[in-house]
Amino acid sequence: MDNVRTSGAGIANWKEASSRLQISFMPSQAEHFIGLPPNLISTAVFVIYRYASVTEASSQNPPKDPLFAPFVGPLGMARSHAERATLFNACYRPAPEEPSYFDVPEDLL
Amino acid sequence: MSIITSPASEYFQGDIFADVPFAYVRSLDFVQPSDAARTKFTATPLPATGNKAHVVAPCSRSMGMLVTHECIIDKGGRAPWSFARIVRISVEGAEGQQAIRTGTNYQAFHLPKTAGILDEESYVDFRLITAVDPALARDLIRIASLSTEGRASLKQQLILYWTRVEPGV
Repeated sequence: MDNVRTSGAGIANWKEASSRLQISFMPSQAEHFIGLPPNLISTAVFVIYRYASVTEASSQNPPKDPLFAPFVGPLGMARSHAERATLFNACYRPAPEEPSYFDVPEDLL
Repeated sequence: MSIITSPASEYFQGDIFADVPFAYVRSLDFVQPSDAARTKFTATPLPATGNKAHVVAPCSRSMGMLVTHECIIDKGGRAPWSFARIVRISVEGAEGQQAIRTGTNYQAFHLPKTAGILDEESYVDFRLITAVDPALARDLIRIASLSTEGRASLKQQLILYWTRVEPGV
């Protein structure tokens, strides 16, 4: 069992997901991005691809892309623990340690 | 493979404990400690706003899941540990049981029957949460933890329950 106390899996999965999307989309759309800085191209391609994937999907028509299949669907759709964990790890990053923390005042307890 | 495992070496959100006290305030019956030999407490008027007294409340002891994040626990101090009650799934009808298994019942987190740990298929009810003093909580018996996948699934279901939103569309 992984006993890491703050999981970094979310970041890793998200980077992997965005990387896969860029690779799959770039070849056919490259002419639209000539002259743009590489980092801007990556961001733009990812946003366009994601928008297209989400737009295609609807509550009655889940997306075909297996990368998005676990993510998009009616709110509260039926999911297994594995699918719910995949959704969580792909879409959330661990928050940084709080810059300050205050204990509960004793007279409130 | 079950999302329920033997207890991890450290406390984690999602850990399962035996005999957690679950109190529920049903009335404003306040009492104060008594010096009388036969009565430990005597009735007292409602305390003024901001003041404290003991309240008489029904309290059961049953299996519960730690929903406080381990980050709070690591910090120590006085912060209470919050537990959500674990309930046998058989208390629900067939339709309710299926909704719990698939997570479409937002307030519930499904726990599969797990040999040696959980004798019956159950669920965590996020509506039944109680706060326990950390010193008392550390004395409770911890019987299981969640796998990494189970903890991620729990966090997603907590987000859905508390906010009614999920990422994606």
